[in-house]
Amino acid sequence: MSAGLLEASDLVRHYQVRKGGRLFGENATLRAVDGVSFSLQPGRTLGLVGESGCGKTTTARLVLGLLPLTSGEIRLEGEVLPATQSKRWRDLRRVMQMVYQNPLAALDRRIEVGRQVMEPLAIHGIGKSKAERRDRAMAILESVGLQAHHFIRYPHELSGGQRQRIVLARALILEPRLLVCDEPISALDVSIQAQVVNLLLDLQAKMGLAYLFISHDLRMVRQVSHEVAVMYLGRIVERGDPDRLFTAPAHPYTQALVSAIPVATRTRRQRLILKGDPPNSVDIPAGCAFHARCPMAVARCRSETPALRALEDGRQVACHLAAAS
Amino acid sequence: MFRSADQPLIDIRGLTVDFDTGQRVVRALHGVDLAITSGESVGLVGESGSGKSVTWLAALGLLGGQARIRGEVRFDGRNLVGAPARDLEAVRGARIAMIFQDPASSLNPVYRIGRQLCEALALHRGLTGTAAQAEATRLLDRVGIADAQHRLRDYPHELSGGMNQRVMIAMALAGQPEILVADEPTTALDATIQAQILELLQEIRRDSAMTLVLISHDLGVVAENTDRVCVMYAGRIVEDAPIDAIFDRPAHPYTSGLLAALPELEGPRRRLVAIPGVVPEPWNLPRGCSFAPRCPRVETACEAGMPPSFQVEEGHRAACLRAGSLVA
Repeated sequence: MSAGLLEASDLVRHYQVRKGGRLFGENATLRAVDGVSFSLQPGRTLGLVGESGCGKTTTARLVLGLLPLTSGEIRLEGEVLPATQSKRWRDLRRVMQMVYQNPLAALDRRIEVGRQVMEPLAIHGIGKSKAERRDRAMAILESVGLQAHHFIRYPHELSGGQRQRIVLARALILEPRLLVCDEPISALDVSIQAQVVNLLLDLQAKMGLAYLFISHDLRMVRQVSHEVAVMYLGRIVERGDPDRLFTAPAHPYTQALVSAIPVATRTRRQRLILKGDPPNSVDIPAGCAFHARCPMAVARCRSETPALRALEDGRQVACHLAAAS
Repeated sequence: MFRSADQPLIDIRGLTVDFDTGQRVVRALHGVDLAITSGESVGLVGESGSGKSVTWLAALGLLGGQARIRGEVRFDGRNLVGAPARDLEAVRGARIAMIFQDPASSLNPVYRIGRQLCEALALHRGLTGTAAQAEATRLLDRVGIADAQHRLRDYPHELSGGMNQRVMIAMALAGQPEILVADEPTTALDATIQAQILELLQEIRRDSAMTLVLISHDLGVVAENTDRVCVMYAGRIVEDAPIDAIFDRPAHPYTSGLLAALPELEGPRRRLVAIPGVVPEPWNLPRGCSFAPRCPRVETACEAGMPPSFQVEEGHRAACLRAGSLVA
């Protein structure tokens, strides 16, 4: 693939832990992210889905350099991501911004929201005067659907949807090219989620932003993504076009995930219910990590770890049994 | 106990809840009417603060001293509102059980789950000793926990979120209740675990003909697991209908709005139709219909007063003037 905005190759993040969380427990390795690769082109959205503990958020933090890599490489516009906290890394943060799940936790409760939106400009030394920064903040507030009178409000005076708009405005004021959104709408009410999703799509069309969109809500992910990657225990198990992936999932885990979504329309599909809980990231089973919960597992799945391979329709899947044709 | 078929098992009438915050009195519930017959499964959907949970907490007297509750909750010929604590205790857990969103905070972290289950069995069924142990094992087995006998000795932190929710369901079943109120039982759980828990609730309902009240913000969860749904908005039930009717012919603009705001998993992708504006704060409700400021079909009459509930068809009611003019 041609050099995109973001190239992540074989990202690995391991943690050394004590087994059972005990002080004198056996040393063990927690494999939070275990060989994840993807690329992202400008103006495109990659959706990252999976259950809690599958490494979605760790991947997001690795991409931004908020966590150091155990191994692997991240290239942003062709340049290898410099060490965290270095001068060059700080400069590059202008290009890549993050939006978190809980806007109230991401904002300072004691500062007017407008000043929080202006702050990144001062940090990066953009704008000649305070007045100019203020004008830019006003303009960006308007583009996320807020009004001038919101500038002097405090976070607690705004609704959840408005707060998330402030967080977006603060991320966008630096005109980044990559926005990492970690569950950006999960904390919002249903009627507000649609407002924020529409706003994200409009901003992408207008500013040519690329999104790494992390969510457990598959329907919302399909709504915004050009490509979707499904993660299970630190690895991508299936990746491809959202329409194909959700209509005819190839990996048994994706199948279970898709069939687990309660649908509003009453056409009952055959539901694939998985047994048990996902294993702990410290004790990832040998072979395919999913084999213990997989209804189709065969002997080979217990011994040999499946690699991502391409299917005929361009999708990639990490399963021995997925039909190659 | 004799009860005729069409007589409701529980009949909530004009239930109103005011919270006294010290500075002002805030009305959280504005006269909720809800009658549920035995064996029914009813879903309550709505956004945060719409009154889904408060309705049931008020009905069971679980709201504490700052809440002023008015109206009637008829259960078994008695009114639960204002009933003495002893009467309520005979109903709570034993006849109407409730499970909540976060199982970890509903269980006591310092007691083994076996002990907590046995406590419920002693309280509601008078079982002690080996009889209680045996019943606790049976209940855990019933909710699909493997190796039940050994799991009784586990503490809540040793179990996963899904397992803890199974324990909560087992505990709710301990009193052999007639009604199970499940308040967002799967919201804190992952998608594949949510499917397991909902499947379990369905299975229990099939086996025991228990009445189920499922509170959720997710229309999909309610659609798949109940026969009838009540949509709540700003402390009122705005639409009450059989599941199919809600999706085929919603009568309240808020319900239509919610449906249009949900993305689909299949078919062509379309731009979502968002409901403009925000849910009004309970102390700052608009005059007239609470949904009027966000409603695409608002007319001047909507601002005159809260519209009464109109019957649109058999078993389908909506609190909207438009729905009223359709049937008139």
